[in-house]
Amino acid sequence: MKTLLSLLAALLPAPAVLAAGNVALESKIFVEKTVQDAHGAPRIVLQPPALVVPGEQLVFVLDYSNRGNAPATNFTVTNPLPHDITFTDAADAGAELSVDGGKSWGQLAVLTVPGSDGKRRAARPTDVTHIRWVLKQPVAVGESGRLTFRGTVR
Amino acid sequence: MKQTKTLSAVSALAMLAMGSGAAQAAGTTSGTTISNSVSVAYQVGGVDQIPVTGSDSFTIDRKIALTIAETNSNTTYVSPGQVNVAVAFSVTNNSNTAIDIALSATQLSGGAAAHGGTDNFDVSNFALYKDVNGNGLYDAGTDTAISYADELAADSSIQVIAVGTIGLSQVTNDVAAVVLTGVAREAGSASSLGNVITATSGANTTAVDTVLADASGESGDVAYDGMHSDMDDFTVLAATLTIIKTSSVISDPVNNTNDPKIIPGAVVEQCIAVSNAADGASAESVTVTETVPGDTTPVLGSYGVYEETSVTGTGAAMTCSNDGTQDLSAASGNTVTGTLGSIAPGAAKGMRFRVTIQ
Repeated sequence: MKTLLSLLAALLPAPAVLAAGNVALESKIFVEKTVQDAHGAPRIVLQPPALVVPGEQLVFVLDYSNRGNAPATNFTVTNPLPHDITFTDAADAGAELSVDGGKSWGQLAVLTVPGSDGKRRAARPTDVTHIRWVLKQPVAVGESGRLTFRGTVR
Repeated sequence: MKQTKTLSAVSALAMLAMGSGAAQAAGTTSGTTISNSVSVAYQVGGVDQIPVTGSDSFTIDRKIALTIAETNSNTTYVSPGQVNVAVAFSVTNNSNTAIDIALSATQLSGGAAAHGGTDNFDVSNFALYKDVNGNGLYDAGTDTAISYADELAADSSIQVIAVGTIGLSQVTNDVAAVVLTGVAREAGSASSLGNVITATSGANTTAVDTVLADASGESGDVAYDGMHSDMDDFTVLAATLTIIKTSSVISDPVNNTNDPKIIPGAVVEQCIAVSNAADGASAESVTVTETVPGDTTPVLGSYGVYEETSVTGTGAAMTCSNDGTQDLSAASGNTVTGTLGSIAPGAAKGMRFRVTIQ
């Protein structure tokens, strides 16, 4: 995806005229299951969320595409974590996290939250409230991409 | 969890393992709809565009799990003839919804008990009660008979006790094992036991499905069968008392204390030593009563009874250690009484008194 982005960004100069944006965004939720393949080895598969009970591992898939006729810049995808879902991890390190409802952002290792003793403690995955991606490259006309993160049902 | 590398891939298998424990907290209530909304803000030609949103949702299904567990991990020691002995169990609803739990207590018929022994007897008057005050003991008038936990909320638990009476003929190390089994039943109607909860069969539906997620319990209780069970046991500790009686001549009217003989008028000291076998129960309120033979007379007014707190020697060689305290009022006519109180397992006490040969 990143190679595609950089390639297209080099090819397309800024448009001379403003074109109406037409970005599509779709959120899908899958349940991550470990099944055994024909040789008895564990294999991770994604299934539609038909049967979901607490403790289940979910994969949130965000598909975006630029169906307009101009590149989209400052492309920022923001996903508040649903209530009853705890954050597990994001597939790529480009994701920024917030543990304060979206006020401040960063990697989890640098985020802190108020501890029970009044001092601030290092944030844990369960403290995450929002996840976002800020794409450094414009999304070109016709380009699509996928962002994913994982969470657990409380 | 360590904070380093949290964004990189945490092992999917490890996370799944964390989520698959049957005894975890109940979690999100079944029927809850979880909706994920995502938005994208962007610019075209340097101008902010109207943000675009996307969403997806699903419904939390019903996870049925329950835990039956003895509340202490030790056997309960009982005495022969003891009434209303109790073993306590906790009954916990680990489902993500309220359920009824049908409860049945059974006694093992032979086989390995919960804490190392082998089941070899049943208690009588066996019954199951809700331990209303949670003390693990049976309290008449407080604890109430129970056959099911009614409308037990998610993540909540009650304590129940299996109560019985120990036969008088039971001996030390006899074991009676008890199994409590709980079966998940439908809630929804207070003060009545609902139907057995079964897993949704066939393909998953978009409605609320049911998954049985209980762990395996005692023999015959497999995982994911909508029931759970645990075993506890009673172990008998009896007190086994041994009594040894010895006597020695103190004086006679001719020789006085110099090599005295048992002739009329001689004073004979008697010792009754009582030992309690090791590995048994403490013997409480031990009282020794001796009626002296008709041709002897207790020497009471001047000597009384000495209640000894220890003895010397063991087995047949036990005799009083002369460490007792004098009790001048411990006789009535020809009867002398030693009030020895409690004798711990492996310990011995005694009583000492004197008689005069007529």
